[in-house]
Amino acid sequence: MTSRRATTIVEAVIFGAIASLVVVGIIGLVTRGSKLVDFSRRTSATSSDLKNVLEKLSEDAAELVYLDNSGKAYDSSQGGTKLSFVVRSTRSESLPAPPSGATGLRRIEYRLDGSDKLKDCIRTVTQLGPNNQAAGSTEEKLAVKGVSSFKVWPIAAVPQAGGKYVLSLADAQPAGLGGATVACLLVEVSAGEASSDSALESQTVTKLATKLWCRNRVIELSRGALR
Amino acid sequence: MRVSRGFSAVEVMVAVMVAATIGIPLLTLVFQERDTEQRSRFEYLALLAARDAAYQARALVACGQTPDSVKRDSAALTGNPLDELKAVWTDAPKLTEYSADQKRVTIEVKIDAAAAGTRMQVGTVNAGWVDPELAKSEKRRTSLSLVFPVVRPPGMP
Repeated sequence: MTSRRATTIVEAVIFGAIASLVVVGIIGLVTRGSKLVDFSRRTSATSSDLKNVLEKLSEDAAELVYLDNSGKAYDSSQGGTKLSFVVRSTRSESLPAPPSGATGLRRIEYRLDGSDKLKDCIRTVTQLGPNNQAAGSTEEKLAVKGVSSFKVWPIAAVPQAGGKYVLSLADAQPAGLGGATVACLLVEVSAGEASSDSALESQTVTKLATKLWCRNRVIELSRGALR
Repeated sequence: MRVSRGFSAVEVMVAVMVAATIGIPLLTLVFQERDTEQRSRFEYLALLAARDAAYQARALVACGQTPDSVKRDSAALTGNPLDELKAVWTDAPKLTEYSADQKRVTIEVKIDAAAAGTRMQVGTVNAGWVDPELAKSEKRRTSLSLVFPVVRPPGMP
């Protein structure tokens, strides 16, 4: 028969301390790991929302023909407002066949929808028939409960003497001159992911500012076609 | 009577090794996923900035600036996005500014001098999202380039 001696008090203290450290370490890693996973998932979802909104708006801006609302800036914090402009496009959209005499013009509208801090971003495309009458529309959600603020300042190119152009805000007086055209959209968008952990939620809110150029207008300016 | 003898040191070591074999790859995956997500985010920010810089250069030349004047040395994005347009907008308002993440992106615009004086020249935008010194030790991609044309409007000197 073998006999076992009891642990000494010193051994018990050392083993106890090691065991406690291991337990604390495991809990710490699991908690940190799960927070990291959650944080990554949220920032990843935020990036997707930002990409969806900015890439679609970039495509629309490239084909922009003219602005609605006299080129006024759009700010989502002012309830009930929309960013609205008209593009000439043949891109594939879920629209009915264009009526005869249609000019290829489409009205594009962006708005934030919802009462929460993080809102849906909705894009509406309306096909314009002869005399700019609506001839069917389609709507898509670019972000679901993901965008907290959305601001757009349209910028116009205004002709000067000697064939040069200067830029100005599209709702400023010089942009009303003949030959002026929209040049780009200055965009600021903030997106995030809702969370019960407000610290985590605020950490994942990302703001981006960029200019989206009206590429077809820039090409027209290069060709001197707008003089 | 049944006597419990406890665990031997070898058994404890084996248990720890099994736990480590499962746990370490899992934690590595978690950290790798975070790293990939961050990289993807910065790549997109760089692409956004590069596209803006390319079309901005095209627009400035279309507005009557010379191709040479739209060249930019490598510098991080900073402050008001409209400051870059001061050649054609002297009193541009400060409506927004680049975010902290965007300020980590550097932009350089080059214009090929070989076709200087002709109506069309080729430009290149280089966008980096990692400190150039740090990038030397990185094996993965830390910058991207876009090639674009700048076209002088007819009648411009």
